[in-house]
Amino acid sequence: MALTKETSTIATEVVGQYKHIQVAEDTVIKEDDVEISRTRHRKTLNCGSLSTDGNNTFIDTDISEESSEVQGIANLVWTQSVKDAWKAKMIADKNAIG
Amino acid sequence: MAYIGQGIKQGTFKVLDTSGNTYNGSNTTFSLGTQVGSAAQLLVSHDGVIQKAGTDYTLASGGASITFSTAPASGASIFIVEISGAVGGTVTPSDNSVGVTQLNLSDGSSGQFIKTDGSGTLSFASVSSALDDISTGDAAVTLATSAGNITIDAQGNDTDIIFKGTDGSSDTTFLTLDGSDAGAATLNNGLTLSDGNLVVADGHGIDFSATSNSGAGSNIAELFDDYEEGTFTPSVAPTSGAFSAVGTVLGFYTKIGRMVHIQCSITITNVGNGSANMDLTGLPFTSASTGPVHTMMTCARETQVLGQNDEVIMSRDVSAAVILGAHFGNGMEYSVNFIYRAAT
Repeated sequence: MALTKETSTIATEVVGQYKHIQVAEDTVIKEDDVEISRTRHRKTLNCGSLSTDGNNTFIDTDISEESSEVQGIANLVWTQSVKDAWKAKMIADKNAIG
Repeated sequence: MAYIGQGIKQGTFKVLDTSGNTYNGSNTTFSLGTQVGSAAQLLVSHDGVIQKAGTDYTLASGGASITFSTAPASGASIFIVEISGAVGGTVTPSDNSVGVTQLNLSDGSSGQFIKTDGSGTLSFASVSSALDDISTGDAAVTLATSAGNITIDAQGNDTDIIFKGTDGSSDTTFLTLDGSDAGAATLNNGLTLSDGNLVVADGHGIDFSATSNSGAGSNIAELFDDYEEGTFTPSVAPTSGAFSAVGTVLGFYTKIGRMVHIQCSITITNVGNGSANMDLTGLPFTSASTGPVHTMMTCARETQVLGQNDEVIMSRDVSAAVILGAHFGNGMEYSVNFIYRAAT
């Protein structure tokens, strides 16, 4: 009886005007090559965040630990105009909520 | 010499060609040049003496040869008349003795059968393979192969494949596969899966429009097209300052249609100089929110440091939630539970 564990990306999607990247990964446990368990892990990446020092400085999201596929997509869709729009929205939302 | 008396009613007489036989006083078996069913069917003359069937001679080689009890002498004069067919009676061929050559037809090819034209002429023909030539049976039938696929192919343009039966004496269509709609299946009554999953193609789901709950609004979605459950790793940060250390973060989600239910467990080990509200990012699905959605709220429960407090969660943006007025303290644990609407 051989147990194996495989993790693979099953979906990478770009969503919305701010180009959020949704990533879904499946972890599959197999016994003698027969799947006995599958779990899904998701995450959403945005292009950046605001500093919390009160200056609202835009901080690019660190994607160095992401897969080459995600890095490639991020570098393609996270243009400066997208980042600017995202920053403006975050500031507006922050002011609206307080 | 003319035949005296009545002619024969049935059958024929035929002098067999035995010219190839050589009588040498030792050979006893000779070819008849044909095949007969019975020794009594032969009239054998040996040097002018009629031979007695079964005593003076018998048949051999399945009726294709004659065997004399005594070898004819060299130069013997022998002729044989075959009485073919019954004369005033019925001739029964011996078992396994009738072949194509005994019938009045030319041989066919492998797999063919003998048919009549209704006027007494026999011929070989192939079995018709046209499916519409098969008529209704009157007993159970099994369509089976020992290998390969069984394909039911309605080749006519836009023609359906229909499965019918009789339920309670009523002729009923059980299943229709619509040939004009890419094989869309219509079941007459219910569907039960004994095992396995119902797999829905991407972009499709279960259509509840038949419930007519959509009213007049044609833009009301009644297609249940997604379900998923899994884990995610939330990230937390104060909206002012920064946490020095964040401990365990666990996230679970269940997505039903566009509604996403989130359960998180977050521990702030060292609050540092964090203050104000707390952002929770890394949601599993992008929110449909295009701005603060104040109606998207539920509670977060804080424990350990400050006792238990219910806090309001609002969407901060399309990929984060914000816990308003969160209480911060070292070792603080949050159990966060909220629902939001996904973008897709």
